[in-house]
Amino acid sequence: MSLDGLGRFGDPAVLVLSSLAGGDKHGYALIKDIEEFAGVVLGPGTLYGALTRLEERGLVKALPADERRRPYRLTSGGAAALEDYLRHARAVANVGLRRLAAAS
Amino acid sequence: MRPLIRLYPRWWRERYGAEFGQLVADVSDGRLGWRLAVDVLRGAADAHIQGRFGMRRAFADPAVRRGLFDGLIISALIAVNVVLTNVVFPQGPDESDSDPEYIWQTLAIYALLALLLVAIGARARRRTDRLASGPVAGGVAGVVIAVLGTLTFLVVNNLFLDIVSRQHDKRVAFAASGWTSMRWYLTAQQLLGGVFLVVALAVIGAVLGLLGAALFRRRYPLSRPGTPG
Repeated sequence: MSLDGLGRFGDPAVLVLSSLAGGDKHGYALIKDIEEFAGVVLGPGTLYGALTRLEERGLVKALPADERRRPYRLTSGGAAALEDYLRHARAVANVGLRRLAAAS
Repeated sequence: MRPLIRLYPRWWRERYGAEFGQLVADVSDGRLGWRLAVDVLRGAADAHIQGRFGMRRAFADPAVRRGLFDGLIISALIAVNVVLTNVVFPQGPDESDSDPEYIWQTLAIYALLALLLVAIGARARRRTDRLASGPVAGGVAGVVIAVLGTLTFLVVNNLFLDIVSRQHDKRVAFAASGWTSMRWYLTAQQLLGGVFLVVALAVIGAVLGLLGAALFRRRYPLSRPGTPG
């Protein structure tokens, strides 16, 4: 499983997966949680563009709806893909920070 | 807001419509701001693009897109070669495909095609870090090449029948076939051969793609979102 090919929904997908790593959430809870930990406000259209793709790839799964709000859960494949991505992002960040430090 | 949600395709509304409507209501708090409207409109456009032809799941797989894209490029090169060798620089009236010169040319093309299918499998593996992506990409590329290659020959044979029908091998085979029309004979042969070619190249592409995926893998087994497929 990977996050390749998500186009402009790549970054929102990472935010959604990171939020779901902290527990199941429905759309509104996702938006609020992402705003809190990342300072990014996702619109409903963007959020569901990412959720649609993540669900198609089996990275998240929908749980039974609570009235009209449906929670989503991170799957094992989603957790693995998120971990891969975050490790890579950390490796890149470390290199960038080291080079910035060396240059200054 | 409801009219905006109706802009989403039916399949999307059936699956996500209720929860999406609730979310929009929660977020908007009864007021429709222009940012929210634009976001919903962009989402609707995206859902239509994703759902086109009902092949969202297939095209969501980077290996399938790899096979399609590379298969199209190879097919375009084959089409150029077919036009050059059959129309622009056709064989002489006494030359045959079984002449050593042409046999070597044919073998070289097959070898190059095999290498390309291995490379497609390797590229798909590097893209997704999944072994299964190799045979998928190779198989898809094989089918694309077979279908477009057959179409190319059908078009060339029919558009340039006066040139193609002078080829030695075609004249001999036509004379022995019992058919009365060279055009229909060539078309029938091409269609029958095309069916065989699709199956054969799907299998060969999958095997060579698997070989490529097994031989090569990405240098860093990590994923990066947001990169084009």
